[in-house]
Amino acid sequence: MTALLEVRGLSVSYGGLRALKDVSFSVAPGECFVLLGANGAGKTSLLRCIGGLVRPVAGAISGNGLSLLGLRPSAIAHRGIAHVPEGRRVFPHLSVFENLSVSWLRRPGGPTLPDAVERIYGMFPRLAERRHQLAGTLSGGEQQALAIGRGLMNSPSLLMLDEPSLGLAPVITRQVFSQLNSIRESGIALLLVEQNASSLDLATRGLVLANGSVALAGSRDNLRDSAFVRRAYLGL
Amino acid sequence: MIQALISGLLLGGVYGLFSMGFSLAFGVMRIINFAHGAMVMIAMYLVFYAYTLLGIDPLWMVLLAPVAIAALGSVVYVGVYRRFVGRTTLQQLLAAIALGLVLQSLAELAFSPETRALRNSWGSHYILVGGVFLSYAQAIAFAVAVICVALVELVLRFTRWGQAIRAVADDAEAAEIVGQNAQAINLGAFGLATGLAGVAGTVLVTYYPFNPVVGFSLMPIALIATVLGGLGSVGGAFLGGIICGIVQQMTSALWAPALQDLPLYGLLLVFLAFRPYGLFGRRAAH
Ligand SMILES: Nc1ncnc2c1ncn2[C@@H]1O[C@H](COP(=O)(O)OP(=O)(O)OP(=O)(O)O)[C@@H](O)[C@H]1O
Ligand SMILES: [Mg+2]
Repeated sequence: MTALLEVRGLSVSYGGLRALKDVSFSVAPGECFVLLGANGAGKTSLLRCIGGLVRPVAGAISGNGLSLLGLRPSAIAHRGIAHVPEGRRVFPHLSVFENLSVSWLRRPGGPTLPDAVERIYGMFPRLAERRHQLAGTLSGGEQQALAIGRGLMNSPSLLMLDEPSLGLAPVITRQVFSQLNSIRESGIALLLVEQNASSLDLATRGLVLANGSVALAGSRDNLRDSAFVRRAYLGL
Repeated sequence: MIQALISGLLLGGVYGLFSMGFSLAFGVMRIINFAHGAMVMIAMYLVFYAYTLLGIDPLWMVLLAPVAIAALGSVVYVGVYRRFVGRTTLQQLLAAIALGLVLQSLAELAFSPETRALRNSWGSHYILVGGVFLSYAQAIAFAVAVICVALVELVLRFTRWGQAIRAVADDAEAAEIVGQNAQAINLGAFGLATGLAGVAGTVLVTYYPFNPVVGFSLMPIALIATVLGGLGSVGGAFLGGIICGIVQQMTSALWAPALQDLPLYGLLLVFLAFRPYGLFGRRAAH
């Protein structure tokens, strides 16, 4: 069976600075793969590289068995790999509705624009209330919901999220994680980048990045039980 | 006085029309397209020769010239500006000025530097409305400008293409992430922007004498209108253009025609210093 996403020997450099070294992992349909790592570990570089925003210096990336290397980010979105970027990056001068509408990709057998928007409003009622409001005026939690909703508008098979809990109050973070859990239960695989170790509750498998390399990889329970994760992320 | 106000309004509509295109390119791509005026100038020659050589009425060219100029704009975008998206403003601005000068020199070679005017059957007609002389050509130009600004605003506001253009203006990388090909959107937006220059040239040529330098001479107006209207705001640039037209014609009537641009430049300095976001206070393109 081909993996939804397969990353092999990926390396990324910025000028002379090596941000990722020989990273390999794969994500299977329907699972939640969590990427943990400290500040500057290379998590964002990894997602941006998969999303086509950064070119790797070595390695291979494939989605459903087809190489994604060299594709424009928009083409990767069209392949069913959605990216919810670090910092949310909603379009501030577009309304909530327009943010969703502009992210809808027409695909065979996919939902119509109104159906897709209604589904997002059903998941995030706050967005429905604020549909005509400019996205720049939303709170942090609402913007994160909108960023996730935007990612779902193209009915992806894989949703990549870069620190969705960043800057959110713990209550809001719990809400976001529980939304992510229902998204996964609806059959969409997640590739979740986090520094917040409570994300491990959602995980099926994951890995820990340190200084651009894979320090540890395994199932959720392997990660939870490892001395490294317990010390660095769980404060135990 | 009323006469100056009306003719300022009518001329300002056309200023607004091409300022809109200039502002759109800036708002979406951060391109300060100093060659925008050259596009207006080329449209004027196109319409002039279509009329003198082929007998095509300028009104018909309202549909044809923008398409031709948008095509030229697309070539310019792919050939030149695409390489400058994301580069420093200075590099990009110098490239745009160079491009404008190249187009102007080519026009001088092809069409000679002499100043011409298009004399068609209706261009010099006047109608008297309530004691004010209305130039037929100016009234038509104004009507076309108003229709264009309304259409462009509707497209930007209510079509998915328009939403995509505004999304790229807000955050080009995020637009790519959600599946919009920013390069293609930029190309389309630049085509639209230069198409507006094409419309402006078409209606302007019916009453405005022209030569290869006319394009550059219009650029200060586009700059001022864009600053007045709020950088990157399309509707704002249109209103800014109208203000430019009125200020210019009033100065000319009440003071001296030779000084007609002086208050405009003063206005530009005042706005840049004290209200860089323009009259309507919107910071970004929309
Ligand atoms: N555009 C860039 N140019 C140069 N260096 C960069 C760039 N982006 C990231 N880096 C460097 O690459 C390394 C990895 O950064 P990255 O943003 O991928 O880490 P991260 O794990 O996402 O960190 P954080 O938790 O702070 O978001 C860091 O040393 C960073 O300084
Ligand atoms: Mg990061």
